[in-house]
Amino acid sequence: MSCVLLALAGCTSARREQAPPPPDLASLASPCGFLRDAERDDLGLGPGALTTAPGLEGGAETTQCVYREAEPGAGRDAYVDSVSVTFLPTTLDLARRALETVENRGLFTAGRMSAFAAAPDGVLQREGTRLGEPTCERLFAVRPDRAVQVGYTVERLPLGEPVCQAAARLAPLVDTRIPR
Amino acid sequence: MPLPTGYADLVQQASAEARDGATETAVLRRLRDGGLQLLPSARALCDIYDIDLGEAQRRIDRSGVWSDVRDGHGPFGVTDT
Repeated sequence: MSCVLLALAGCTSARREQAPPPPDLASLASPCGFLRDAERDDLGLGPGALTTAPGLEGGAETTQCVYREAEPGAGRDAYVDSVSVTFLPTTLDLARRALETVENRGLFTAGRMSAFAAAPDGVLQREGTRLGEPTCERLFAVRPDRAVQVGYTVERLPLGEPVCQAAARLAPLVDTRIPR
Repeated sequence: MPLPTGYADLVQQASAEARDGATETAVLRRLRDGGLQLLPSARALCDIYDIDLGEAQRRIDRSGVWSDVRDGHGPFGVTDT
C-alpha cells in the first residue's frame, strides 16, 4: 500500500493515538501525575486536587491527590466516584503500620474497614465503608522511601460484590497502574 | 449575625475561613457549632480541603473537636432510642 493510501487509512493518526507508557510512580513529583487528563476524562473524573497533609505518626508530610466524579452519575449502574492517590514518604511496612495505628484509635473506624491483607494479586488492600461509602484502599511501594495508597469509593455498589473487585472492574486503568 | 441556615452556606462559610487562614480545628469547630454532626462534618472537610474520607477522618481525630463523642452516637445530647 502506498504512503498516500496508508495516510488515507488513518495509519498516521493511529500511530499518534498510541497510548504513551504509564507514568513512573517512583519518579513522579506529584501524585496528581498518576492519571493523565484523557484517562481521568474516560473515567468520568474531574481534575486532581493536590493536598499535603501532616505525616502520620509525626513522620514527613504526605501528599494526596483526589479525583472526584466530574458529574454526578445519572444512571443506575455502579461507578467509581472518587480515586485518591497518596504518596507516603516511608517504607511499605511503616506506612501500613502508621495507617492502621492512627486509625485504630480514631472515632470512626472500628469495624468499618478491614485490616490490610495481601489480595490474590499480592497487593496489600483493605476494604469496607468510610462514612457509609464503600471504600477500597490498596497500598504498595514504588521505591524504598515511597509507599503509595490508592483509594476508591464506589457508588451503587452491587449487593454482594466486594468493593475492591468492583473498583478494579469499573476503573481497570487505575488497577493496571498498580505494580504487581 | 444570624447563623447560616443551610449546609451549603455553612460549608461555604467554613471554606472561606479556611482560605483566609483559619486552622483546621477552627474550621471544624465552625462546622460543629453551625449544627453539623460528625459524619456530615467529615464530608464537608473532604470538600473544603480536597481530601479523601480517610484523611478527613484522621484530621478530625487529630483535631480533638469531636473527642467527646464516639462513632455511632450523636452529639448535642442525642440519646440512642
